[in-house]
Amino acid sequence: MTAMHSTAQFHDEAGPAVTPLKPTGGREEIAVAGQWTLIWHKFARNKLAVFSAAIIVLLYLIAAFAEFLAPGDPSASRPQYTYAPPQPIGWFVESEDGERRFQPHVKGYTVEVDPASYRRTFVPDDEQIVPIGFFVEGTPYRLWGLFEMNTHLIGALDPTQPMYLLGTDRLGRDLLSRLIYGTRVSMSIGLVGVAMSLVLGIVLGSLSGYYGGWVDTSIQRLIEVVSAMPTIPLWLGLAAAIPLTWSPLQVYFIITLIVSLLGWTGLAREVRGRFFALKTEDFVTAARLDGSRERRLIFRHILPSLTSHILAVVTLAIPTMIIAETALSFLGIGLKPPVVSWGVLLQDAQNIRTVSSAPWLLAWPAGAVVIAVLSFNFFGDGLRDAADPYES
Amino acid sequence: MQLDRRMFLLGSTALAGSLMAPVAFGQSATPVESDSLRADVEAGNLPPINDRLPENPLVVTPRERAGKQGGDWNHALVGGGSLSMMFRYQAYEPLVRFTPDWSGVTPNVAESYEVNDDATEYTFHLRKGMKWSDGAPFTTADIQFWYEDIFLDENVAMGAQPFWYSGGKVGQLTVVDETTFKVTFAEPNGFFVQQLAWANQDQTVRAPKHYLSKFHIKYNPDADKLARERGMESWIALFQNESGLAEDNTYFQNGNRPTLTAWMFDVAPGESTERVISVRNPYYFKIDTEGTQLPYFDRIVYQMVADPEVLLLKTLQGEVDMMDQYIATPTNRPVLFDGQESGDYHFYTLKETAANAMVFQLNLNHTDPFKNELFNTRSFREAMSIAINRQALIDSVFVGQSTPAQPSIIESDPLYVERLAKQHVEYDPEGANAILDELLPEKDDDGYRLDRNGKRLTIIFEIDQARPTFIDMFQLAVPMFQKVGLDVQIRTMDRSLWETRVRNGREFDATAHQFGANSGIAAMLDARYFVPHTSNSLYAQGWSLYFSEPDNPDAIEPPEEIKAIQERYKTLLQTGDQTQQAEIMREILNTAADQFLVFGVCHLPDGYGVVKNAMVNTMDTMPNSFGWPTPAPSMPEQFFKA
Repeated sequence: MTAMHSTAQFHDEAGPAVTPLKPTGGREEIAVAGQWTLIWHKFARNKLAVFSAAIIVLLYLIAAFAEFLAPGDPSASRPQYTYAPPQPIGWFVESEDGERRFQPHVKGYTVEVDPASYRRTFVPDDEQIVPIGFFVEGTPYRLWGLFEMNTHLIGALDPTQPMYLLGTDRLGRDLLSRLIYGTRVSMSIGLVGVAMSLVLGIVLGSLSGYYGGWVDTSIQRLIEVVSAMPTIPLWLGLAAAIPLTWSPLQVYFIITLIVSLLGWTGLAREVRGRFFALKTEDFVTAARLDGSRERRLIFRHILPSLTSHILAVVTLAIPTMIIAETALSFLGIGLKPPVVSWGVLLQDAQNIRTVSSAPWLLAWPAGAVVIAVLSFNFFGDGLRDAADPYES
Repeated sequence: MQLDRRMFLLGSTALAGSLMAPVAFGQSATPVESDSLRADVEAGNLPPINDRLPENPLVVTPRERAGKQGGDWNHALVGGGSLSMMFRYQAYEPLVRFTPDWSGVTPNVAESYEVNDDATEYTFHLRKGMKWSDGAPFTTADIQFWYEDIFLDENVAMGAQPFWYSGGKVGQLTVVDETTFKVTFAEPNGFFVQQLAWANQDQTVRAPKHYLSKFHIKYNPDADKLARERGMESWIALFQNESGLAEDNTYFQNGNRPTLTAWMFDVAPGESTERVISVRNPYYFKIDTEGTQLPYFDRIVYQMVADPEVLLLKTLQGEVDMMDQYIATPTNRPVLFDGQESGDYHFYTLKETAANAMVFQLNLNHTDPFKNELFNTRSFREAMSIAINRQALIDSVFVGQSTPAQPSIIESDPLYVERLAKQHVEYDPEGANAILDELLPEKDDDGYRLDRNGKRLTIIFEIDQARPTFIDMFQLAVPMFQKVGLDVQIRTMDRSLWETRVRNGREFDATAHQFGANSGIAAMLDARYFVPHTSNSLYAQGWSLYFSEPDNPDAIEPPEEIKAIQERYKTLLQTGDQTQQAEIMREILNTAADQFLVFGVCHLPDGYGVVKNAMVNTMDTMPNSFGWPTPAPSMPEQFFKA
């Protein structure tokens, strides 16, 4: 992303250097540029939005390559390392003769169990050097279910030794691996629902607003029926109806789909209202007189002028979805362990024991959610600003 | 006080009960009016102390030292759904109660009792002049009212009290005079008094006739009208609501009903969502050795707390005087340990009485014929059992503070059967695989074993989601089962759904639970994991139903060997002699080891509770049980704050 950004700058600067006689060339280019080019140029100028976009891409890369990036198996637990604190990475080791040499490593722990307080106390042990490295061999996995691999981006050279860069949870599982795997669930399944709501809302809202008449009436009545549907009893019924043999992930996927089937109504109403306002505007009339067909009118002329509005709705919906992952757990249909997601990690960390003696379990998942949510928001803001034709 | 489990069995019979004098029995003390009530007495609001107490009050010897009346016991309850907790704190006053060390029973509301030699006739003597908390006399008429108009009245139907039956016939109540009554059984009923002492079982002393009779059609022809005025269909609904004997929450939500307990409701749980307040019962029948009427505490103030984490914070800040429920988990132990100084409290030890930390229970009465046959194969259960690396579970969940064991009697108990406790606990995935290769040789591409139809065999354990240690243990155990090719999964669900699907359903594959009992008399009374005999034997609901109601359409006739063990258990319940009881129980435990119906992880390590440093007369070590409703038998009436 950053690379593209600098290319654009280079292009801007290079323009005048190559053709000094045409100092206004850039502006002419802008004058004839299409809508998407304009949006892109405007967006690229918003550094925060570009940076956020980069982070979002990064998060999706993490989700896609979770098996490779995670140092270990997210559900593999080592009972002797429950609530082990994070290990900082050291870069140099000093050998016996006092010679320093480059060797990335973490320090092992000395573990003591106190039967009175029921606690394992971890003291970093300077003697116990666990050498770590990049592209090490570790737990075998199947990337995307296709490729048998056992290379991990980072890990202990000897996979039996402990390397917990972000610490462990109450069952002695590596938080870093769990966080990375959690990215996959949190950044995908919930968002499918958001996307579906979006498509339904826009399509039905546009049709309703553009055609009016009986189409409008029937769609509006449908919206009223859907909005009147009581959701909690519906979910209760679903919780009882969904076969127990489905995995929690499948259940959650179905639930998000159903939620999205109910959640499109607000957006549809807004889109319809905007269509009513816009369909009599001069540019629409002009396009119609130019012979544009209805589909082109709706999707090429009217809808793009609503982009900013829609983007705002979507970017607000995504963080809500991530945080609400576990909200339906009390009915047995939200995400629950053994599924690993940010919501589940956060829920696991919501207790006093964690806050008082293992704060890393709360800090990292919370940090991940905050970063994802902020990125989506800034990215959405940037897109909206860039897409808004009314702003200078 | 050190809890001695051998004592537990020694004192466990009815016969011993009649010989055993209660600690304070025979001691006397002259009742003294306390300062706090003197003003009320002088103003004429309350009769003087000698008129309030029975002629022969129970003299309690305080555990460390005598105290003075006064002060509040600061307590807490979590949520609204668990009022049965109150049996632990203020509602344990049966005819006979368990002794503080659970070595036996001692007279309580009853002044004394006798049992005949073959345990068919029990005679109880009430205290002359004893009164309900509103001053009305408590006599055998109240017992008779409960027996005739509640217990035997089909309309009222207060739920089963199976220990009142022997040889299929209900015990007969005979009232001799105002303070004496007899219960006669057709066949020996060896555990009758122990059952009466069990928490929430003795209803005979919880039915004030003078209060409840006005809601009963037999005594008040207008009871139906009264019910309709209160918006209920008939007198039955109203009566059930007022007496509350069928349902714990209803029982505790009624603060108007007179009681025999040390404290009575001022603000009952139904009336406030923030705090429940119980105040001293001025007619309570116990005094200490110096003549002070008990209880010492003027009030119990329960804060109603939304969830356990809030309670944990309140405890850390020293707002709760004594607590071992909800928050005293292994996970919270370091937090509470660190807070001892600032919260001004210390720990006490709870001896765990559950048969196992977690019992894996395959549904042996499954509706699916293939699974039913498979789960009923002993070697399959053995294979699953040895597929578990118990030490790993113990290390992570109990910080290594236990050793692997099946649901069984603990080693320090005379009933200990080593084979029952230690068979099939060795971690042996190769052995498990070898057995499973015989039973389920076919596997799919992912390495999971297939059933007869070539479909992947999936075993789903259904768990109550409010049990975090179970869920933690399963997260570790599931990969172990998968390693031997069994597609084991867990589903956690809300308690009410779990009750519907597991306790009342037949279609679940498997579940996990705990409780049961690991020693002495408790194990004889609650043998759920050794003999399918109660609805708590979740692994064989159909067989359990056959034990109590063979004619019930949902009952399933068990195979011969199960029938045989059920018969032995029936015999045990009828036996009054303690040596014989132990003998039969040992035989049952050996048979249970042969049958190996369920498997577990380990015995629970000792638990803990926290108590404020200022509290006096509490016990340092006590059993953790609902039958011995921790801490009620340690006599909260003689707790006070220094």
